[in-house]
Amino acid sequence: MKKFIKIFFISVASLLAVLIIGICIALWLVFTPERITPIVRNQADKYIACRSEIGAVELTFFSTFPRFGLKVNRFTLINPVADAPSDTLVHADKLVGVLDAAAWWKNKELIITEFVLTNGTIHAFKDGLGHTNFNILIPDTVAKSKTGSEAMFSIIDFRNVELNNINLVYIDILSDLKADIRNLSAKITGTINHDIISGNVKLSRSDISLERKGENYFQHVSVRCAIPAEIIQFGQKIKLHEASVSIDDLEILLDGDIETDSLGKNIIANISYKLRSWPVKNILALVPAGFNSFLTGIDMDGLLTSEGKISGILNDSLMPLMNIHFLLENAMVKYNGFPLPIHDINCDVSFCSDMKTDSLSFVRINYLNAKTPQSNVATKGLVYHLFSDVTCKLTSNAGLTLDEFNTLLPGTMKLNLAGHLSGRILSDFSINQIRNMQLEKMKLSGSVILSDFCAVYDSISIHTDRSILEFKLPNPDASSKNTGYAFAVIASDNMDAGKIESYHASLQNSVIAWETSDVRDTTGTPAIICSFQMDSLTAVMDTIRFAVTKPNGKISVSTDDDQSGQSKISLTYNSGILETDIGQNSAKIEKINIRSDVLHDSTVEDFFLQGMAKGFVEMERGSINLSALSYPIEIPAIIMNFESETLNIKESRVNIDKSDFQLIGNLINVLSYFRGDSILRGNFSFVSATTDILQLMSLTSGIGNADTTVMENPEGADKDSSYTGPYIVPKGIDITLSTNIKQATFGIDTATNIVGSMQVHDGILLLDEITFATSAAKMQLSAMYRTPRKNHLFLGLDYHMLDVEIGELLTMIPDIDTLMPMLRSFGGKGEFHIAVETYLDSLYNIKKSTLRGASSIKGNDLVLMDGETFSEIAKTLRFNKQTENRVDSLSAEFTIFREEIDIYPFLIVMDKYKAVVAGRHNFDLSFDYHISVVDSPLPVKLGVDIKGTMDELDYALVKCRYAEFYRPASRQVVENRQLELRKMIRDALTQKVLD
Amino acid sequence: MKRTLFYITISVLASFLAASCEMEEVTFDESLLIGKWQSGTLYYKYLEDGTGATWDEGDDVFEDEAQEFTWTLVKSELTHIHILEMGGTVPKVYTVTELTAATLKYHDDFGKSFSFIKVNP
Repeated sequence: MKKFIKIFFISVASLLAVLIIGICIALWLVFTPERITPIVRNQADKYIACRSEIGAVELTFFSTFPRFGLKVNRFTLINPVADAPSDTLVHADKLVGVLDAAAWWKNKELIITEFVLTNGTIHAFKDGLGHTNFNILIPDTVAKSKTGSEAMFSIIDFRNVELNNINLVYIDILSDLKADIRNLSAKITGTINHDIISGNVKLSRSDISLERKGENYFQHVSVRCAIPAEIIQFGQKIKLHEASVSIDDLEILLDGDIETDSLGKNIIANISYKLRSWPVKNILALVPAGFNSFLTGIDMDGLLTSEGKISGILNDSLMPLMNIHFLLENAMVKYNGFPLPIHDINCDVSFCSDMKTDSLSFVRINYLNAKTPQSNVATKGLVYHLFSDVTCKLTSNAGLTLDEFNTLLPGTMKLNLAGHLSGRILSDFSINQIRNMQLEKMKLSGSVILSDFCAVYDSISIHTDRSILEFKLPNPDASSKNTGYAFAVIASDNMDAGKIESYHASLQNSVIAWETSDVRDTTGTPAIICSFQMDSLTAVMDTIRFAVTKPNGKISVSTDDDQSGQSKISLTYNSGILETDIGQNSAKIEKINIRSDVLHDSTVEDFFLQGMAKGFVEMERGSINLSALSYPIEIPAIIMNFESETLNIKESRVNIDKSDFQLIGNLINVLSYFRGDSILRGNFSFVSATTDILQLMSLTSGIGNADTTVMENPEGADKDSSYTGPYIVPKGIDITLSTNIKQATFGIDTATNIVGSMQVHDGILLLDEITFATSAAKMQLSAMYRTPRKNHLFLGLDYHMLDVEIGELLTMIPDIDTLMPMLRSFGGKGEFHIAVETYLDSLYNIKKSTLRGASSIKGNDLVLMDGETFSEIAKTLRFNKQTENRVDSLSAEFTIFREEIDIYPFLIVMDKYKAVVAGRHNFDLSFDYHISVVDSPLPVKLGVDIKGTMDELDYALVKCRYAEFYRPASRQVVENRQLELRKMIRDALTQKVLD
Repeated sequence: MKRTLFYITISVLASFLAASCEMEEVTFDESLLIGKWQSGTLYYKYLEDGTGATWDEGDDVFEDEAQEFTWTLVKSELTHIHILEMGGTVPKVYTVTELTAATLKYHDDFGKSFSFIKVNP
């Protein structure tokens, strides 16, 4: 066995030695370059039209083992063309070609086992007329047609085509294109089998520059690729099998096929790609310089990964379906126009579209996160309807430090933000909806938390330590059918808002919820439901301060569906302690309940008629301090119902200093009063234990008077309850008070058990037959007080005193003495009637020229005049010494006109005398009386004239002027006239006395 | 005795007074009264329908704020009936002593005289 092996190896070795020797002989002795080179040159001249320079041609075996090859040294093709930068088309230091001659010979297969071009240059050129320098092959009429080629070789196989260190320059003048490829090293393998070309192109090194129309699209970019491909039907279809193309290390992997449908002029693609972690900076570096203006000021970085598939038909009307996925990682962007650098950008986006079909196209943002130095935002969602109305359905989260966004705001905006905002917003909207502001079609909802938030706009500021804002648009849980447009609720631990040197408001622990219809609809009143609840609310503006604890309530505005323009407003309000200061005035109410419904009709032109309100108000433990009053107005309770025209006070109790009263009744024409159509009418029961009338007058003085001059306090008026200014009767109101006052004070005057009616009627104050009692008498008073102007005040009194103790009356009501000084001359009880009227100036001084009055007095056992005067008369008339200055009976009338008091003749009976007295008493305390003694012990009837003043009396005996007075049978004409006047005076005075 | 003398004296004086003659009363044309009369700041205005008005500008009262009255002139007796708004009347009776187109003079029973001149209405 060993021997056989030995013989076998020796045989093989010998055979190999013979074969090697044969090959060596063939290489070095038979097929020497000197013999082969001319053959090759001759053959080249047959096929190449241009001049060629071919160096030594060697037959190779060992370097191309196991096949023989041809090696050409210094191969050059020279084809000068006008304008070409070089007349050399191709030059290579070395060209090696290996052909499988056996396959060609036996099977008619062209198998190029190896074709290597080393250290060469190629200058391809095309001039402006389309002439090229590389169209150098001499036309082969025999093997020109495709059919001829196919007939010549059944298979063409490029086993190894290598380009090593080749420089290629292509210049196309016609297209203004210049491509410059340096240091090209590539390896190409492939086969051509009938109509199928399959192969692999590997570009291991290159330096490519591309310039077109003056624009450098690539400059020395390193391009590498490995493209396994299959080309079917000479380009009708190209299949790529995990092809890889890399530009400056930006590698893209391609897989799939592209097919050309020449009949339908379609390109059918089914290709997928993949790129991984492309540095964005490197991508931007590839952007041609001509487009760098778009990137001026932009600094971007990050890693871009993408993969996708493009499948479908591409033609003039169709695009293939692209399903692309982008992933951007750790990216950052700096832009000069955006002062905040954005970093940590991570984005995962899928894009699917055929660039035509809306239903197939969408962008899905799986996540998009980004950060600024102090803030972060994140969003995800879907963008679809890309080719009709781009629609976004997004979920966005943000955590913003607002301070850093101030640099984004225009300086002219004068807005400064501080604090932190975080929250989530869900949105579903389209671009058209935004463009047309169709908020009603959008879906927006979210929750935003404001922390240490402060916004200052010019002089206006708002601040909150923590507030939560939730909103929904539309409102899915609408409380009414019309408030489905939007919902918002803001809950704040505290919130302060204000304007410098103007106003300031503060809310504590507040929750305000808001539902509304589309507030942009100006054709009608929006439907709104607003409920609020807070621990406290304070507001300050100038000298006005407002504070309320625990306010809560609800305001609802509802509209009718028929667009009739009517809306209903409902208000519910409750609060604890409400305090307010307005200047030196203040008010405090410990509890307030308000319920109100307002029917609002916007179609009514009259503003006042647009709102018809009804409801009720309940207040407890109120206190009002007015600077004009020394004492607070205490309001233990008020309960009232109200409608547009009616105010029904069911209960009201008020205390002012020593005054207290209960006011119950109705106020009507309220709305008409404010419209100016009608006066305000009211009818109230006024029940009081104690009333200071002056205090009440000061409260109501001047209401409704348009003339501000009537409101001015006269000189000397002070803030005390003893109000001395002219009381200006309210105008535009007609209020009737049915009074029942146990005790009333008017300055120094006091009255008790005042029962009657008091009316304020459009500038006129009427006391209608009020009865009251004083310690002096039971009285009946009607009075009119009118204030046409400040210095012209009308006062009219109709005073009836029955069973009056005159002395006490003067003590109790000293003012009566001013009107009727005669009363000082009487004492005892009597019946007294007086009607008097006058105008007063602003200090209540009587304008004496306007004073008018008529009085009637009737009494028995009155004391007449003072003792000294009586003594003189008694001495003159020889009265008994025991006679008192007592009038047994008296019935007299007297009138007041300006400064004159005329006493009409009346009969008095004293002692044994009967006398008729008449005369005049003047305001300067002078008088002129005549006494006719009509019955006396004297045989004659005498009269006495008394003139002068009390200090300087002048009396004299005169003819008895009224000798027959009260004796109708013998009365004279003058006496009758006097009696008529007396009767007229008394009848007019007494007809109003109540039974 | 003294008392008797006193009575006699009184009686004699009374008889003198009782026997005194009364002067015949003068009649004035009331149409002359119609118009506006002025005495200082005091004004009276008489209208043909028997009404009138009075005011005193010295008291800051003007014509449109005047107080009304009714009047009659019978022979020489001029009667003003001032009507109170509250009810009641204040009669004032005067005796006219001169009434011309330009002058009005009268006095009351207490000897108080008044003199007016007519002013344009």
